[in-house]
Amino acid sequence: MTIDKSAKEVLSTFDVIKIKVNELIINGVDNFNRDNFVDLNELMDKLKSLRLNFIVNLLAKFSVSLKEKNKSEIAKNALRIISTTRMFESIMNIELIKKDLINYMGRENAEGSNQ
Amino acid sequence: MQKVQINKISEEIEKYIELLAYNGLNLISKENVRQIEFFLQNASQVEAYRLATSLRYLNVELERFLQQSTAFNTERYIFFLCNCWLLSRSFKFLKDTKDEAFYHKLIGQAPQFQLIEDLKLRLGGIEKIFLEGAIFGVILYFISLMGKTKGKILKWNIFQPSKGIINPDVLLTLEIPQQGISFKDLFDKTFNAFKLSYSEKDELIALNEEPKSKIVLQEKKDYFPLKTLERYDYDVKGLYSKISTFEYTPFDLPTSAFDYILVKNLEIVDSEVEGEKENIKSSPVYIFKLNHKRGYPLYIRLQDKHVNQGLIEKLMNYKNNRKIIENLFGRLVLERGQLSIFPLCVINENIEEFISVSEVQKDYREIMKTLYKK
Repeated sequence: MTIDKSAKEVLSTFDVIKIKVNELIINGVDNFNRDNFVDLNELMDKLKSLRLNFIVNLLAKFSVSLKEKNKSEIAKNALRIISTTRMFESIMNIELIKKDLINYMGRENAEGSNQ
Repeated sequence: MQKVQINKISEEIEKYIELLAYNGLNLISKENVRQIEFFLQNASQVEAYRLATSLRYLNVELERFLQQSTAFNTERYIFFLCNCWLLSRSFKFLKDTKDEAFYHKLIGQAPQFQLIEDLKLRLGGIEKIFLEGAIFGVILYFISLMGKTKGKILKWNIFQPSKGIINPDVLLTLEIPQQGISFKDLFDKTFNAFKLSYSEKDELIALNEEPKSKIVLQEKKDYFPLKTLERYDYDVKGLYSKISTFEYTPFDLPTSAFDYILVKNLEIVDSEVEGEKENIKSSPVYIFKLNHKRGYPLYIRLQDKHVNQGLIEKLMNYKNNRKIIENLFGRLVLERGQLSIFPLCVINENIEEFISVSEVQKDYREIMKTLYKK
């Protein structure tokens, strides 16, 4: 459907981030699966390629706080990541719709001038 | 004085939410529920309604978790956990900015009702609501046909605790208190409503206790007032400007509903199911692609939940039979980058059909009376 590939990629990457951070909030930091560290690094690389540096920075801070076992910072960063991805999703949601409508207006104008 | 109190409470809440996030659900006990309840009471006392509402939902989810209820939902829990955290932190931000308008937005406001003497209304749509284990019901959307509210859509919420019933349609057979008619009697007829409670900001109506509200139905069925809905028949430019005014906030659900829309000459041309194979812990979503008179991209997105089953089946039927819908009135929804309509009413040949409502057995009325007897 009309949603473009890179936008879909960003949204599904956000879904993966949310699943991982949600897992931490559900299971607690002490039971957080350490394999997720590796996944986090992979995610950061992917987000860098998508030029989403603000999320990369948040994930990096989160990763540092996990390594340092800084209780308060881990929780703060986890909640920050969830809130930020959610806000970004809202912005992206509207901007994608606006883009769709602009494209439609462009097509409509082009058809009008051809006739 | 109030601001000082809010700041103090919000700092405590912020720290407590962080503790919950760090510990995870395994360490949750009744003590946590009591603590959230305490915060909730404090937030209500200082009129921080928005924070109080989020705390209330957080509390409901924690109780469900402790009761090992199947209604517990991790996404909902985290959503409200985050909302409480953000709202509590935002007050700290407010201390520095001294932005009064932002401050009032944050604390929220309960609907302010006033008495409205006379309304002429016509039912224009129905939406079913089912929040597992917590609440179920219907939202009735009325078109106002006269006076200062003319053309507005006024909502009437009919909610009940679920008590094991999963089909909200049955509430429509209940009697409207002290009116001698059921909600179903409001279908297909224009009526006058006297002395209702009305919230202008939230576009809500409700029955009033004193003086008592009175509903008077017109005796004959008449045609649907489609013309009154024409203002929601947006062309692409009108819609673009409307969407451009949308205000982002970090407190919203990923789905944002902010207006109504009337779509004409509509055909459902395609459908697919999103999230069925992907590793996303939420219900799959049915997506229907629409062709319509105005031409711009438009979809119907419905979660695969039992409350939407009837609606999904009817839409599939329209698609398979390539049947044209003359008019579809619904909520305008912005979701996952797709402009969508949530269907409230189909109007063919000037006759309305409340598409989400299924046929309700008459026997249900007796069951409902027993279940909700005071």
